[in-house]
Amino acid sequence: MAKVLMKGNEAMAEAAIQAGCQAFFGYPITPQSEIPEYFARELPKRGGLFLQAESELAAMNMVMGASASGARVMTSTSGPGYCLKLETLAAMTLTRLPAVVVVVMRSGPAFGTMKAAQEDYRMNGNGGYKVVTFAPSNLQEAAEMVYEAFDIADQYRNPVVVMADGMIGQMMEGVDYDKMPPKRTALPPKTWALHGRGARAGKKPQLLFLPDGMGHYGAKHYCETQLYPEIIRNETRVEITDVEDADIVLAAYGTAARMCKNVIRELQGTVRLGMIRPKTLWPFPYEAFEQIGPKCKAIVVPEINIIGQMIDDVRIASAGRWPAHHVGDSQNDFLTPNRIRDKVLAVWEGLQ
Amino acid sequence: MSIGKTIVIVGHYGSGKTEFAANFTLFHRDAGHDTTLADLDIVNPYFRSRELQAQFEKRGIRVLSSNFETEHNLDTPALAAGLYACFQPGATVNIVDVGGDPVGARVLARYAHYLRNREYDMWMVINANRPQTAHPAETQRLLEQIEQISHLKINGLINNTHMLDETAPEDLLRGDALVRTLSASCGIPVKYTVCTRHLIPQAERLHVSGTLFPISLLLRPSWLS
Repeated sequence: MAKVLMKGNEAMAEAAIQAGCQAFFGYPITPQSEIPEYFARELPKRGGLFLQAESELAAMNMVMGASASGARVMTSTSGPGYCLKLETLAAMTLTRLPAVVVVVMRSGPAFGTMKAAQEDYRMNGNGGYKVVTFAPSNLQEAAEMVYEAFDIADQYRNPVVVMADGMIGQMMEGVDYDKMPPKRTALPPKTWALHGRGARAGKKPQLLFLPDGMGHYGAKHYCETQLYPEIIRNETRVEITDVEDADIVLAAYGTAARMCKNVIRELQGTVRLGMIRPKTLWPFPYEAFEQIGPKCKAIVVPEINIIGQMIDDVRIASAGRWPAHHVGDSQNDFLTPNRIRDKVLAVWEGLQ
Repeated sequence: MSIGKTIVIVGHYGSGKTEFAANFTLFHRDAGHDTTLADLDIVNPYFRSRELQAQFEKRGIRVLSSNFETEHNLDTPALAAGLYACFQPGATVNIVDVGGDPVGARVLARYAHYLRNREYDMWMVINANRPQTAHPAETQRLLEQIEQISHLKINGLINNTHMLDETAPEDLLRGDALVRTLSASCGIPVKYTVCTRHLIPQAERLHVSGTLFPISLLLRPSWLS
């Protein structure tokens, strides 16, 4: 298949179908509605099930049910809907049920506006669970991340989130589906899945929410002390560019990182810039910051929000070695490459 | 002659309707015509003609859309009352940029009766690199669905086949083959073949159907390239 021109939302939906997604349950919300629309059109033709639920709550509970029966299943939403899905998402981490959730972020709080945003970085349900959270910066990557998310969810029996900002959902770009990441082999068989009363053959119900012999707290303890560290070791993703001899390092994800690349080009010869681009927001690539060279004086963290969210993790990774400066939306405008450039130059001048 | 005419731009979403409509508006304005760009897109949140409002108004182009969204960025599919003017006879060129697919074209049915008894143009923008409009049969089905839902007839095809920065002459030719087949089967002429300005010298050697129409990307932010 040659490269095709896709809208981000379509690109992610198509990747999910190619990854073997068998069922999609969702509820429309801007700026991700092309995802359910694509599934509605394509999934039934290709042997899957599409269902528009009566609400985000219902959709997420259907995801949990389909996952419990062993299906590869997905839902997608934006911030307001993600809030509603979190209770069930948390429950799926407790009951160890895999699924893929795509969140296409817009500006909040609550219904907010339609503006693209990076404001849901910290959004979590209760109980200290963790889920791999991808942050794509272009459409090829968005498609690859959704594709791989299904394998990761099945491998660890834990949901995976793909957190795209609204620009990624709405922009057009070429996508080559011949370049999807390799399928993971030796995924654990879903021996726990429910296949109906007839499949039980007189034995106890198949769905064991908790690993054998473990109580609730034991299972939670296992996840937090063993499963999550294993995921951190195996699944942390980051792009590191020229940080060894940078004067200032930019740390950004998604569309903000895309803007940074333009700024780095524009400021060539003025200030030496490196970049750390987390491709997973959890696990956060703290270790990438250890590669920053001795010349670095500051970190600038552009985000599509007003006061910064990921910047907290950057400060933890910096451990006081470099000051971290936020740049984001102004009173009237979305983050722009010019605002990033101006911030970098202001920080640079302050250091002279 | 386009003066006093309404030119409606429809097509699959992501086919480049808005870039074409915006460039076509500038083309008419540069020719000295009193020009209005009407943004009827109530299905997309970003990359809509209304984002060009300030820039276009400085050049004397009227941009009409919603009286709510421009100020509040809300998800309200409202349309300004002034949009009626674009479907009335007059001395201006009215370019109407419609939302993608039949779902985006549905809004036209509201205005269709103003056009029914007079001359109008409705052109379908086609990018053969979009998976849903890569083949003639599927593209014709989409064309018929748009006509059915809008209660209006398409009378021109526009080949806008591109792959953004990676567009090659082969893309234009692939699109040309598609619109030629479609044109033969549904009897609708090809009006334009669209390409970015820097590709025009190469495109001129290709003998594609319709008139070559050079565009600049007005909506795509430069940092996305």
